[in-house]
Amino acid sequence: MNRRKFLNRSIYSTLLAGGMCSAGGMLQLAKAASLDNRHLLGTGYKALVCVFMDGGNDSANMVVPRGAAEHAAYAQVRGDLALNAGDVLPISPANNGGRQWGLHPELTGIQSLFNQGRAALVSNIGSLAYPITQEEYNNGSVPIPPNLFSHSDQQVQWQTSVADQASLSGWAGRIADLYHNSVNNNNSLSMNISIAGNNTLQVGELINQYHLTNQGSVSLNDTFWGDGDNRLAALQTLLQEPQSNLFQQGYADIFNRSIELDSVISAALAGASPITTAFPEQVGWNTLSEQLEMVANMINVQSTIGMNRQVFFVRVGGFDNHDNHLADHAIGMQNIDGAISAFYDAMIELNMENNVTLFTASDFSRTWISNGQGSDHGWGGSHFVIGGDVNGGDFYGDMPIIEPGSINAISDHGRCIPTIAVDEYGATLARWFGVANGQIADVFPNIGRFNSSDLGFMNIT
Amino acid sequence: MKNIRHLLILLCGMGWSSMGLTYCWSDTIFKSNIENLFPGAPGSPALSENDASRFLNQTTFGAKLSEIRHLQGVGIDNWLDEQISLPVTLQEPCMQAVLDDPDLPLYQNSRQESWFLNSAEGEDQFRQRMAFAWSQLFVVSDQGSLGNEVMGLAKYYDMLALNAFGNYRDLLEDVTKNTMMGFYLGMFRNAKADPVAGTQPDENYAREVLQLFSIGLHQLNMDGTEILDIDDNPIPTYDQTVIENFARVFTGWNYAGCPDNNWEWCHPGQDEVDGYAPMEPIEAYHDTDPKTLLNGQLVPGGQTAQQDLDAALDNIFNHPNVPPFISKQLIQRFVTSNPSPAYVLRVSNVFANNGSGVRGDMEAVMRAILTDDEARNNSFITQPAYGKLKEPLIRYLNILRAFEARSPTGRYGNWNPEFAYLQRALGSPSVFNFYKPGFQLPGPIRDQGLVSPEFQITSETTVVTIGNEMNQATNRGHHLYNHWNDSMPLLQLQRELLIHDDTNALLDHLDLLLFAGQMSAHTRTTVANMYDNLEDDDAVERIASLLYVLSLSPEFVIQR
Repeated sequence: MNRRKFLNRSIYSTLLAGGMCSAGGMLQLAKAASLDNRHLLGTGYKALVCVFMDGGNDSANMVVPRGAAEHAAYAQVRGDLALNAGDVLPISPANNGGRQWGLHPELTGIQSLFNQGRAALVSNIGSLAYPITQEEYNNGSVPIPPNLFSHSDQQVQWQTSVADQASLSGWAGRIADLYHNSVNNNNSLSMNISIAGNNTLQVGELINQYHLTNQGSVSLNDTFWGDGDNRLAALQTLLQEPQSNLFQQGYADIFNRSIELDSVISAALAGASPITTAFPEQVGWNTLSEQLEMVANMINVQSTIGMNRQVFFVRVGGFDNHDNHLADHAIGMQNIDGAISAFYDAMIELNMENNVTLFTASDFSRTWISNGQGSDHGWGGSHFVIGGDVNGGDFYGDMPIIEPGSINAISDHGRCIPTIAVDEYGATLARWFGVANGQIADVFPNIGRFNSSDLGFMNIT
Repeated sequence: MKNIRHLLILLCGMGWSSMGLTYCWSDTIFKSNIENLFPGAPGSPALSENDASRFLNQTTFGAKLSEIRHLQGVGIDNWLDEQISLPVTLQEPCMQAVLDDPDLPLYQNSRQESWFLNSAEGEDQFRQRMAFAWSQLFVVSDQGSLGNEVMGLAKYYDMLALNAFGNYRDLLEDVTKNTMMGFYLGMFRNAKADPVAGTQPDENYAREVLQLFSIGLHQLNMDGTEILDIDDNPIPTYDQTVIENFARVFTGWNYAGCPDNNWEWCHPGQDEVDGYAPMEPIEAYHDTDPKTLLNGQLVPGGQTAQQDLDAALDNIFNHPNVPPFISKQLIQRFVTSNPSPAYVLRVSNVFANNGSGVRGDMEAVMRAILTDDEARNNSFITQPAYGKLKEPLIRYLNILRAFEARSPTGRYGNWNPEFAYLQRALGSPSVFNFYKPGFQLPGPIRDQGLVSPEFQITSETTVVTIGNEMNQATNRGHHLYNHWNDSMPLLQLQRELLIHDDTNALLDHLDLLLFAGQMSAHTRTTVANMYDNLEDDDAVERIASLLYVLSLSPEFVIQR
């Protein structure tokens, strides 16, 4: 540990007076913070949009080395999963490690955003308990996150950013706990909105996530027969009665919140001038495009509903390709490229491109080795960050070297050892969002173990 | 009533298709009028009507009056005997009937209809409910690559129903060798490592069979609590090396009847090749090196694929985690989300040994779960953490069954229940089911360290989408809506119409049917006031209004 990091950590401990790492400690902190009316840094509107690629995105085929020698090594390792060097879309990051790079052939929109400096690639992120090398992994001298390579666990660890503990809250949830009441004018609507159902990222100790469909909030259509007014009144009387059973109360709380917020949101969405940017049709089952369109619609009404800081969560499936990988992954890439490009265009239309940052996340990346047309669960992977306030057109972090016996992988299956912790990635986004340096460790309790809480890919003023 | 339903099942089996719409079920609302409207309680009943209703809500897709009376007469043990010995209601005959009709395409819609039919009307309710529980543990899904597998998924569900009360070890093997599972989690045509091509065996099934289908991630005590190390951390049950060894076990399997020389391209339709029979090995693709499994158990080299599979499934089956891991989840599915460790322990002990030295006897396990004091003793009902959120589709089926709903065509046109309910038979978003057993609703439930699995698909959105479905379902009892959609079930409200002008009698009746007698005074007063003051003269609409509000009430959606 270098001296600066040690000092930082001492400051954190003084500030936090210990107890921070326990769930109870965090709860107290959050309560304290909401009492002393802490403010996020900066003014105006800001939103973070998490695009979670469900199942584990194969980032080794999302960003591909195209230099002759390195591509040959990549092709040798990947076997039938390898993309041709001539097919990938060339990009020219400054921080290229002296190597030549290309994007998956379907990522034409993101290539364009990258070339305009609106998209950055953060390389080799994963859930980590501590920084770890191949040697340390092999000799077991450094703790690793529990249940590595399990979908559910890695998803949770990505979203809690507390990889080595059973944390109950997610990092966006903890931001909301600290700042929601002071930064947003509308305190009944959560800072955290999910268009994709329950997730861990937006679970707070105090402030829970609010759910929308990709068509907006839904209303009880209870008035088209008989005496609907009386029915609704009776239902609300039942829902508002305090319940001694915790499950009954939990259900009633959700229903009451739904009825209250629907009136606000439905009216705001109906009253807004529509966004004209066209969002593309998607291939297959997923609805990412519609989800992101709803995020854009919500950003369109942020001032009407009194929100200054928001975090949105959307989800896209189809990445757990144990089989038929090349074809299915191409569909996944096509879908995220179309939806994300349209979303960025919509932000330009709303004049919000500098206020909104979209970032990708996923359970893990996949094994470099083929299992015969498919690939299994890996670990570290690369992710895109997109927006006008992104220091784009560049790579952040080192790209792994995909070759037989690579120093970046554990075992011969090609599970890439992360070189950037999820904590560092999230902390950089949180700092842009306005979380002050002194509060970063409230949100990312393990951040002191890692190199940086600012990886440099955001324009943090 | 009974005869008509037997006829239904017969018709289904015969693929009878001469009546109007040519699905395999053709009973209509008009033929199935309830014969005995208010069957009386038997003399000297074995249990009270409220206890009977409560038991039926735990074990079936919903209580109905005739079944409450029957259970009161025969008692729980006999009722379980009867249920388990009933002929198994299957989906395959219905799928076959559709397949045999040149005018009908076979889509997942048909399978969904068949699931609703069997779940709402199958006589073997307990078995159907158990099959639904298994389908949420041994997950395969039509949301994705199995989207076109209609018959295969119907047969998979039938396999779960047929095995429902058999031995867990047999079920595990049938699931493992099923082609649907083979496709879904990659054991189908999973080949041993190929050093030339640089490929390794697929690890997907190896990982999920351990993590989700049998032992879970952490070592468990028999009471379901985690064993902790000296630092109070849970202890993993396996590591990546174990997964890679199991992945090598699960190599070499292909369609039944494939010739040895046709690993890659053999397919159903060729001679002897069967797309639905349990998978069979082609030994040349099986990894015959030695393997190290759970708890360091060694599998010697040179064994056949079946020998390795036997050894591996025995190795899993005998792991000490299996009894608490499976037992606790079944308790959660049928009785309560947070069983006491003592309850889990009592059931796990039966899983480990049914009293005759047999491990994995699921009939014995289910009897232990349902007859346990913590399931039966009404004193638990008032405990704040007792009970569970009913699964969304079970809430809907509760209503259909209580009012013996039928559509004018006899069909169940709920083709996409997942849109509103976020549930669909064999249609979860991933192998992790609709919800995870450890999901904690933020707030008091989480703060007290409790779990609430079904709340994972409950949100500001779904309470309303389900509310709107209940709105349609209840007012479909209304004569005005009879022809709104002739494939959607309509409630039969003959009973309720007979007593509609006696609010007290009506509420007593609904309390028994829908609340197992647990309706609170506040709920009763509130809905009675509403009912008496509705500005609506139509008796059916008035009853429907009552059902709508009750179906969304906290006391109905939480099973206690």
